[in-house]
Amino acid sequence: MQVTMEADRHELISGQSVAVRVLVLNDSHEPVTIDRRLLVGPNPVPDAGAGSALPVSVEPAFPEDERNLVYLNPWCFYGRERSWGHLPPGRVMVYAYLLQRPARSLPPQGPGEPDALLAAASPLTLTVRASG
Amino acid sequence: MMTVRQMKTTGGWKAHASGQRPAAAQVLAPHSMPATILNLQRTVGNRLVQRLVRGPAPSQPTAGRSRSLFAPTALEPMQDDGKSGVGPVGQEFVETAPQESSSPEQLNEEGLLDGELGSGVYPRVFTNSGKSGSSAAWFAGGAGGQGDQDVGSITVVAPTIESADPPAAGGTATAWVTAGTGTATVTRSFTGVLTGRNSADWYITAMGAARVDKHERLHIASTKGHHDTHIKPLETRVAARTGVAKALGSGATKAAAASALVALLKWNASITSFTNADTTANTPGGPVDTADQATADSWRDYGPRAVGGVNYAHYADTPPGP
Repeated sequence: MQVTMEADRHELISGQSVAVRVLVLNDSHEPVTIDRRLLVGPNPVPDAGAGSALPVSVEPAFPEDERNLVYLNPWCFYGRERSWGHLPPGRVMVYAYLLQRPARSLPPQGPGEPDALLAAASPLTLTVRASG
Repeated sequence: MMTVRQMKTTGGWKAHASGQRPAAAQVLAPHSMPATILNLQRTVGNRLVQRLVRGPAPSQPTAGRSRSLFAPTALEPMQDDGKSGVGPVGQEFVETAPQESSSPEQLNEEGLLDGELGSGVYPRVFTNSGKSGSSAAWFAGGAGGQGDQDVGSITVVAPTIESADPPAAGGTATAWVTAGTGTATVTRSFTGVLTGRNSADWYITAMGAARVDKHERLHIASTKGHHDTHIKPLETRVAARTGVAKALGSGATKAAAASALVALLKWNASITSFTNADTTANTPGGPVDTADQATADSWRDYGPRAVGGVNYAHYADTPPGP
């Protein structure tokens, strides 16, 4: 499995909106299932001093377990998009990762229990310039 | 005279002048010194700032005054400006009182009563003002979900040190802290986020908003911990030498006694240690934020959702979410 991210822009002015997509690609030649509850991100984290980390991105869970499963054929992907309009000026790192099992601790950069991690996207860097 | 008051802003310092606490001044976090200097020039004036930049001026004669005032403050512009001269004593500044007033420390530049005119009762110096109100979250374009004061901020009134030569030759000189000086006040409060609609994009549930409050209280508790480590012992040292009755006897001259008291108080080091520790721990994205975000009940963004017929891009809630 590969986790990647893409953004509609990498440089923006404070107040401008930026959309980031996380993609989970089944890079094998066998069908797989993933649990939508195990994908965390995209998670924007401003540089220390610029602003606190925003809440990590997850999805609501369906009460029936099977409805949380996503079937992926080979080289097909599943994803999620989020956008933010008020990121603070400075550098904002964006993280995303896929778990192989549920974890209670979900910091933006990766699970609190490292062995719960299945795959992580390369962090994405946004540069936010002050307006005016 | 004015007090530099600071309001927390995202990614910067914002200072404005206030005349409410005349003898007090704020010690700022060291990393913000350039901005601080600009702010000080606008508020306390160029004269004090020039002293900071140039360093201490040559000693001024005391002109027969019976006492000298020592102001052991590392960040000199933060001092009350009711002084007539500044000169070095070791690593500290010696402040000589003007001759023409019997109570110069209580007069401002206009000759009006000024400063802390207290009873000498030692004040409580950590104030947890709790939640000051609610506003849309900062990441929704508002001011909520953050502290009301800058990290590392502290309001200080430097101790005024009085000293006296030995009453007779061969005796011991004495030095003491003037009552009402030597106070360091730390105040912390926070602005919570709104419950429900915070902006066209953000909806925060009641549980989510309560979780933000809990987080902000962690910052206050952290600051109080650093206060108790660095400032409380300082308070004790100051209180133990406040008033002539508790004077420190040391050396053969009043200058020697005053220097000994300055060394005993460790005023500058304690204030600096507090500001550094508080800034490091509580800066946005710092250790307090990081540790809290790793907890199982930390709030999460459950993404786009319709609430009451209104579409939001972000629905923030605590686990397990909607």
